[in-house]
Amino acid sequence: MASTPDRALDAHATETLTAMARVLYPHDFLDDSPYRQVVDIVAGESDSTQRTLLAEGVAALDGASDRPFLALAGGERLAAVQAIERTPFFETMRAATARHLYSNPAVWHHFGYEGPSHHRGGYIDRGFDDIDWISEEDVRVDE
Amino acid sequence: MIAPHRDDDDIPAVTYDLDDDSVVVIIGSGAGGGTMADELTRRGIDVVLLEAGPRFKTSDFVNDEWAMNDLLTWKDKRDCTGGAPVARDYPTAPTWTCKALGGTTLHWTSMCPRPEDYEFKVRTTYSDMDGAALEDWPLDNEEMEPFYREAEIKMGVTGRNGIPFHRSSNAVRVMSLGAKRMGYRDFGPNNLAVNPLPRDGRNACDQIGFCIQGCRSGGKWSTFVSELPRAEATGRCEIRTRCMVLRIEHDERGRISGVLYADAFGDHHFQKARLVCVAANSIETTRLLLNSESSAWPDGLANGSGMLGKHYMRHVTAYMYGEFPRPVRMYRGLVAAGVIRDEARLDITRGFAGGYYYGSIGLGLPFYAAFLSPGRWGADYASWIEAYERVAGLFVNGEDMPIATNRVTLHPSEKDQHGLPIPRLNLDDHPNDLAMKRHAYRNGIAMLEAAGALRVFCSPPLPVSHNLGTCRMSEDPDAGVVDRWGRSHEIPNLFISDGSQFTSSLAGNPTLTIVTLAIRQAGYIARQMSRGEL
Repeated sequence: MASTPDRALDAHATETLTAMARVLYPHDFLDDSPYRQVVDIVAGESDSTQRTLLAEGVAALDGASDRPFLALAGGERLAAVQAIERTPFFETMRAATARHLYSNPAVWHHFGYEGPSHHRGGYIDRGFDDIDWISEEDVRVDE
Repeated sequence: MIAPHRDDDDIPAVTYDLDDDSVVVIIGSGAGGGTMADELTRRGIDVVLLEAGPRFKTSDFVNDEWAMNDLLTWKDKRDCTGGAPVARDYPTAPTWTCKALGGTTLHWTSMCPRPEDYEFKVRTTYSDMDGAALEDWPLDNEEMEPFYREAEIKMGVTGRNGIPFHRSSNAVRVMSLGAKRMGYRDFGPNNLAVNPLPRDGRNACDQIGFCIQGCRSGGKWSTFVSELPRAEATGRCEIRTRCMVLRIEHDERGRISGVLYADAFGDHHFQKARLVCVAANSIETTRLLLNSESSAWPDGLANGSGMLGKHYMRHVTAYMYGEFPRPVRMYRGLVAAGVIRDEARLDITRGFAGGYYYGSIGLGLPFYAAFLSPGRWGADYASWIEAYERVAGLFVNGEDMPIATNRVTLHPSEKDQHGLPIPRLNLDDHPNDLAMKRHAYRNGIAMLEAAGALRVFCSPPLPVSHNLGTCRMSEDPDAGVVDRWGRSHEIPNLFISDGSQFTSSLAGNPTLTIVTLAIRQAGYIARQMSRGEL
């Protein structure tokens, strides 16, 4: 049933899915690289059935209007993604982006996340209680 | 014949013959099973413990939320039906338990609330509530008190028995500010089974975060670091990991004779037993008993009452997050560092029976982004993820009403890798659950706003680790599955040692009570054995 040859996604599919990942979870401060890494992970984990799903999804995005998805402006891309929101392809990409975009250590500093801490001795001496806008006095209950 | 060990990390200190019918067989190694192993072996009783999952080392635990989720989680499929939101959001994975030596104590948040007196007497206190099958526990807080204290000392619970609290983290400070401005009075650092100072062979907590990924500092209590090594050191406990129990067998007198299990290679063995303690977490405990049906017990082993699998309870849960103008960094330090106890009380003027706790939350970015709201996407959702560094969260844990149709059953057609029916869970919310949840959301939102939140996000319930009530304890043999000692009403040498024996869910997290019941049950078993009655 799988008609797509067993190989990585072509350049058009990769670019289209990268752009779709940005529509799903848009962050202006991120360049395309972490979104493309999500697509690479999805493609790398895919069997031929899954690749067919992705290829058909790309075709659906391109077919959502009279122009290819990559030729659309931001608002139009959003509408094209909304048009396929109920499909297994959409949920595959959404779940993968939610999982892999924010697990990428390269993006963490943009969100103020520091990642693993064990190897640095945790936060016991590195600010687990360093909040400077609430004092002990602010939270004391009067007896 | 000696049972083969198929896990390279198992180096048994002692081995027992498969035909040795003098051993106590414990099924499961979490809060219930691990505690039983420790409590029985220290009384000189020989134990074979069968654990479905593998044995890890503390060095296997890395600070990576998804990697540890993949490593530790019990991933075998469940089928969830019913009207509760979790059936919609997580239809094949409505629970979150561990499949590893140490069980779900590997990922528990280590909160140890103590129940109030009324929580053991829900039928008497709430009277008859439509749609809820309430029973009083056949025991009370006064009887439980010394066992609770013993459990707290074993586990090293902070804020009790002279053990100090942890210092308040950033997340606790934000929660406390909101609580104070709401007029709450009983809040602050949580009672946690996590060492603030080295104690009982365990390290002090380094405020790493990642409590629910397998504690890397070794400061958090689990049976993996405390009870199981102690049991093995007695030379009276053989642990066989990657061994999945398929059936419990009984003889013609209606007494348990042993258990059939599959080892890591799928080879089947039969281990004889003097008695069996089942502690596989409610879903698997129930499934095992249902799958152990026989001509004497056609509806499931020890299920003459028909109560097995019924009254499945979780807890009323809710999660909400506030975005603040300035940094919070909730991920720094203990995951469930703070608690508010003011709503964990009996006060029906709030419009519902039972109580609930608020706690503070510390999630890493990967889990926060994934579980803030499953399925959500787009610019507004992304803006909440961008706010991560300035977000503080609250969770709610409250009493769940027992409903006869909230139930664990066997799937009519789907089978697991061993050829056994997978479990099906039916879950509907009771109106009392919904009223409690509305109250908790309303006050939680007000609390976050009182602390200065710019906006608040309410999250749906997550897959839970608290699975309770399916083998419930009852005075009346027709109203439950086990008696006041966790012993089957019908089979004298069959004990239930996990949260499935809970008669009601209680308001707070269940692990302290599971450990307390296990300590009490082990003493009972030892006394019965020494009198020759078991």
